[in-house]
Amino acid sequence: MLSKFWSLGLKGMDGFIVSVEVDIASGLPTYSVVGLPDTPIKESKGRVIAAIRNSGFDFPARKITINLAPAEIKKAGTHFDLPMALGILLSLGEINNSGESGFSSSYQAKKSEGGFNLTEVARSAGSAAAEKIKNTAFIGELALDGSLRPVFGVLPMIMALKKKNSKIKNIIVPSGNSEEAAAAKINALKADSIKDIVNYLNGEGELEVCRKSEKNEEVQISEDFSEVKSQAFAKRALEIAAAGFHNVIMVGPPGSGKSMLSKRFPSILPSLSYEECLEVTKIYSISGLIKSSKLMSLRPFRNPHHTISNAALIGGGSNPRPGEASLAHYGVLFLDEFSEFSRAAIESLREPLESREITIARVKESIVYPAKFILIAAMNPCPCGYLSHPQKECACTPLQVHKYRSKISGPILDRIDMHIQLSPIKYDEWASLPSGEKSSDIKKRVLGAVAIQQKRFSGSKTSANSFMSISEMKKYCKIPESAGRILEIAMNKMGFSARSLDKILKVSRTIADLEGSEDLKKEHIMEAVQYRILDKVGDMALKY
Amino acid sequence: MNKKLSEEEKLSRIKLNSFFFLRTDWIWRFLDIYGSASEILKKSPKEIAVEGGLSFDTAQKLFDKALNCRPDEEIKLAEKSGARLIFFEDDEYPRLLKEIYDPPLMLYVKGEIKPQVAVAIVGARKPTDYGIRVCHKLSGDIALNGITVVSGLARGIDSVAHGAVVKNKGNTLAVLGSGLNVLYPRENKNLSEKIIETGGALISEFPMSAEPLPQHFPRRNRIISGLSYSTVVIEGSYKSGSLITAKSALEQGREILAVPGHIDSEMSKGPNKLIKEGACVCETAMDIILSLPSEALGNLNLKPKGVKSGSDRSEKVKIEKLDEFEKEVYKLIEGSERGIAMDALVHKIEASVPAASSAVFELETAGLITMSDGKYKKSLMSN
Repeated sequence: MLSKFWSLGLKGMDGFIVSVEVDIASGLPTYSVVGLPDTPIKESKGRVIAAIRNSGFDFPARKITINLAPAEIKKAGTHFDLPMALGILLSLGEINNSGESGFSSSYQAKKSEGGFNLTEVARSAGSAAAEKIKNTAFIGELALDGSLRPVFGVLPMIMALKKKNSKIKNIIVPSGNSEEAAAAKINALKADSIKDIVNYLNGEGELEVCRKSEKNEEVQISEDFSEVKSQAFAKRALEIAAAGFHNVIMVGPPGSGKSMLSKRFPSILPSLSYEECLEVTKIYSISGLIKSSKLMSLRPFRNPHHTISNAALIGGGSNPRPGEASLAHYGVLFLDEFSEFSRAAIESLREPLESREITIARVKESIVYPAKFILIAAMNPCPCGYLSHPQKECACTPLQVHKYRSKISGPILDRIDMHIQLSPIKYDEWASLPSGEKSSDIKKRVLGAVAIQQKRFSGSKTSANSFMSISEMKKYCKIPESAGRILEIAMNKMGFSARSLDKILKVSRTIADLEGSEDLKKEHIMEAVQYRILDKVGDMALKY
Repeated sequence: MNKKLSEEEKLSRIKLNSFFFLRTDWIWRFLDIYGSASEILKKSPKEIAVEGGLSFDTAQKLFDKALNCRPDEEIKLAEKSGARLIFFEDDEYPRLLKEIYDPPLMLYVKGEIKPQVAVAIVGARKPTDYGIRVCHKLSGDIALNGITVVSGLARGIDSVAHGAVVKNKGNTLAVLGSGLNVLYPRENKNLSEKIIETGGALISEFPMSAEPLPQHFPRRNRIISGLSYSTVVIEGSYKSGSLITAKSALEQGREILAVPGHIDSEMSKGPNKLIKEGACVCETAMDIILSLPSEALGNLNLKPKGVKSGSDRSEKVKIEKLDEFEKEVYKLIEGSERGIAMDALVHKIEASVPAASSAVFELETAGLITMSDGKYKKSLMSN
């Protein structure tokens, strides 16, 4: 007896439809799953058998073959438990599926050609159940008692059903995934156990629709920029970074407030749009990082430790998973102690910083994860940390400092738009300083600049100033006549490369946007130049 | 001792020179005893040990080393890298160096050594901004007056001194603590090429491929002071190598000058100690010129105007061109001891970041200030 249920699989960020076919035939009792299943799927045997028995059904001692089609794509995850168990139950006749079922009719043709014999299944099928099975996909992991457990990657899988040509319009998910399913805005039902689903298919019970929880509490960021006293220069730089989505590197001795400023950075970022939320949630869903199964409404802030491996930073593994760079998509990737990261890890950021996505290539497949993050890197000026400290003496030799800095290679530095230097504040000064500007006030200005950019780039792939292409830069970063001289001086006297000039122009554009100025002005460029400290060659007088 | 050396003697001298673990005055003593290097090498180690008063071990080492040395290859190596060998007896051997107690047997030289009036400028490897500024100014000024600046091509003061001279197209000699084929520190490769380009020279007493071992540097220092009429010390701690140079200058009967510094800075301890012990205080290039013996003064191309800093006026002109706000910013930066960061600047003048940025940019491009490690300081150019 043959039965078929729809389910979903995941390849990278995209879901695809999988048909789970179950055949029960007489012969020696076996249970085999074919169609490139990974280990968790093969292990499902134990869960499926126990769940079926413990839900009050009999498990047959017969030859069971399960195929996951299309058979040539690798499948991973425990969410195939549910459709496989349902398939067995349908084949056994536990699900009342009499009359013409949509799926069996599609097989009628095959039957007439001498295909498999479906008559028996078809006869026992109820048309109501058949209709439900035909347009519904099922996902869920089984517990041994037959209840359903939440699974990873629900949102990206469901998005496959939203494609135009999809015939499957409904989905049944474990209750634990209901919020995520609701976010996809599709007809989603939730269930607690396999028994509930069997009852529902047999028309003996109803399932609840997945709904967004009412209490949509706006998560407040508790850290505020007003707590940071002084550091006007750094704050201004971060404001520009937030407005134009620019990467920033902060150099400063310990205690100069690098971490403090970075932690407050998300508080001035614009909130995510619905589409951005979905995309971020998809990544978190795949990684199994969604807390309480909610839509990710806040911009992510990721701060991996500097001992992180390459694969963990940019993604990878034999079963590719997104790395920190992708988890920071549309948010902030904060790398504290930047120069302590392994050189390979730092260099691996080149690709995402340039193309804003990460391609993980394997022999059989290649997967693309998005990685549009703002990189905030922080480092000490030298190994001991006290170079340029106002009071403490630095104990490093010039060679040590050189080695320490050279870990951040030119190509990486080139891809970071803004470099700023911080210096610690003396305590006696600190006590007398007034508290700083509130995050909400800074955010207002940032939002203004973002609105200007959205208007400017509407209809283009570019979403912010930092992503501008060469042609867009020509169009929007016209150098004012009075500033031509400035740029030339900057090139000659301060030793900037052509690439740094591009960055200077992009940052100037954002500065102009923050001011609401249509044209680039001399002052904007002059300010932008100050954010390239690591490019400058030092005192020209010492050159010969 | 002014007789020409025979080719054979030259090769023997190279062999002898390869044993640079022995003080040169000992080797000179042997030369006196035996007459020539070839004669020395003909003796057995035991003889040398007994007659010369060396330990047998040292004598044995000397011979092993000398036998292993291939002088012809050494000469080839030197020619290949564009250097030549100057022996004590050669005319080209610097006259001042001949006068010291333990002159090197020979020098490896890349570039030109002309008869010249030389002054050594030495100092800390990790100077403060003050040290760099003073060194840059003094070296540049004396170079303009035709004085050759001798230093050690080390990091810090040495490099600044060489750099300032090269920039003014002056003459400078760099004495290395390693073989000429082993440039140390490597980042000074560019500078060393410039030194030769502008008519100066790289000098070493060590065989071409000798490593820069710590014990080489005090030995090298006696050549620096030996080549010069005066030695100027700019910054250095108590244990600094600059004090070793000063000490050897004293032994050689040369003038010592020291640039005074803050008493609370570690880097001022060395020069201030020298001043306490009687070294001349050096404030301007004129102080250095006045320290020279009268025989030297005749060879100088003195520029009284150049002695006073010639750029004083241009700085004033530059400042006059600034607007009020920029002047205020410049004053603040000029007055800050160790440079001032943008944050502090913005805080002190109570201006916005954009306004301060513009001002700083103008000052920077005018060459009045410079930025390093995130701090704005007075530029050396404005000095």
